[in-house]
Amino acid sequence: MKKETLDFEAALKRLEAIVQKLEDPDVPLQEGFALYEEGMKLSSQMKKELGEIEKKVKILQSDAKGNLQATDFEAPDNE
Amino acid sequence: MVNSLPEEKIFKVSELVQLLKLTLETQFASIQVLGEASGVVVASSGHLYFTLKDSAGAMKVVMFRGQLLKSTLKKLENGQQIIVRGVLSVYPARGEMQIIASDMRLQGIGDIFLALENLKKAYAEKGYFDPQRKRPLPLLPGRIGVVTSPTGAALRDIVRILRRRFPGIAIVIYPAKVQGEGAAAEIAAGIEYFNRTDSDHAVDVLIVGRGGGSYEDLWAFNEAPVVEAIFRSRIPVISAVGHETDFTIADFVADLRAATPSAAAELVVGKKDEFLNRIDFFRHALMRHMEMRLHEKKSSLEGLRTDSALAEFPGHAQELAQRLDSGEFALVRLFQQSLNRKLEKWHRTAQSFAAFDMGAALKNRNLQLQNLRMQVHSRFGEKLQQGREKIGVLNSKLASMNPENVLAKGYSITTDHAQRVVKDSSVLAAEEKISIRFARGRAFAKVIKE
Repeated sequence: MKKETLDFEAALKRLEAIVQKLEDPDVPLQEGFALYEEGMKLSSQMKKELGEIEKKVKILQSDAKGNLQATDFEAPDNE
Repeated sequence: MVNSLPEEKIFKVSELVQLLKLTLETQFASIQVLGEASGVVVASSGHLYFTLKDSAGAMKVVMFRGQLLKSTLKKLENGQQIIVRGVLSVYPARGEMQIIASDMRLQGIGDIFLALENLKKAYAEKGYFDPQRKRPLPLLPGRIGVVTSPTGAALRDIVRILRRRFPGIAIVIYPAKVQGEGAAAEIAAGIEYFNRTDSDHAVDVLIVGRGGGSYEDLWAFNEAPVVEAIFRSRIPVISAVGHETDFTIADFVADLRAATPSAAAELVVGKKDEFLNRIDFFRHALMRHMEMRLHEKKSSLEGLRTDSALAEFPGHAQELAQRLDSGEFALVRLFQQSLNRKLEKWHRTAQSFAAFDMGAALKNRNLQLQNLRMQVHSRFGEKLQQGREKIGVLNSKLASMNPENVLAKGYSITTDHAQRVVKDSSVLAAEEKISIRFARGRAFAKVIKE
């Protein structure tokens, strides 16, 4: 979990850096192409990852042995 | 008024009572009285009646319904030490003195403030609130932990807002008592649980809090177990206790203080839409820059095509060199001077042949060219070869940028009813039929003008 989060944050930073680099006309074309490809691939992955987030709200409850178990939490949705 | 009373005057009772009432209400218009409440009764009208007393005195108090609704203390119990604010008056029907109260509050409240200030000072001195201890929150938490009452409005608000901002985000709730005896221990246990677990209940950020209440209700968030648990937490903690005006020690020690539980939900993660917009913004920037570059390179590619006979000729290196890296540029410049001399000679030769029979001239020119190349090769052999290889690479790069390849990257070409390429949407008329060419196939569409 933790790792996934860091990846997204790092990915966003990387994407920003790629765009900045590509803005620089002194960056050779070949490098520009590589940056472009990397940026498009990265952003597609990020969009996919965001789209795939589909998780539940869980509430922890003690079971018979006193261990905490997560069960679905259904909060009244007033909106 | 009292001083000017004539001694002989005989009052009617009602007159005297009215005079007394007026006098008291003027002289004691705003008083505060400390005492213990007893005989507390709320009448069916909603008015509150009680007696305020201490060891040597007693006074009747009435608080009308309207004032009671606005009072600092709303639910009065027998035996409570309170401070009543109001006006001293007389109930004319009985001639009894009474206080008409406008507000009442618990006397102990001052002590609570004092205790809170002392606690705050003590923790501050221990470095619990140091700004450098505050950790940044993760940009996109994989899971959000919430320690609060499972039945409170705070949890409902947090879940509702998070779901609205970021559909599908994972939330793990640790239910804890948030007021009364044992509350501090339960809240601390929740914070510690999330710090200990490495199961799929592990979270990246914690919201710890509850909805509004009296200072006593919020007190658990000032207690050592909660303060210590937040201090030790390796997971960033957002405190969300009560209303905007409420402050607890938990708020000071937390990495971030949210004014309310709802505010915490808004601070903990950005809107999903905003994340997506930001990514799209970067994608568009990428495409725009690439498009500009492709456009530049396309022009130079076209230049090469129209002069294909010269394309291979080293003289062209001058033009290409400008587009090559500075390293390559230096390399080309090294032999450029010599090449220029050869080029001039070749031009003169070519011109002189122009006047002759084209077949023979061409044959001769080729021969000349070959000689020239051999000379160049022998003199600049290796360096020229290097230069050529770079030019070759550049050419293949340029080839990869032809419009077909651009289409293959997902661009498309739109043409209007007369098959002219559309470069500006303003040339299009409403309902005009346009054709869109993709890498594979084409589609027709109608223009909608807004």
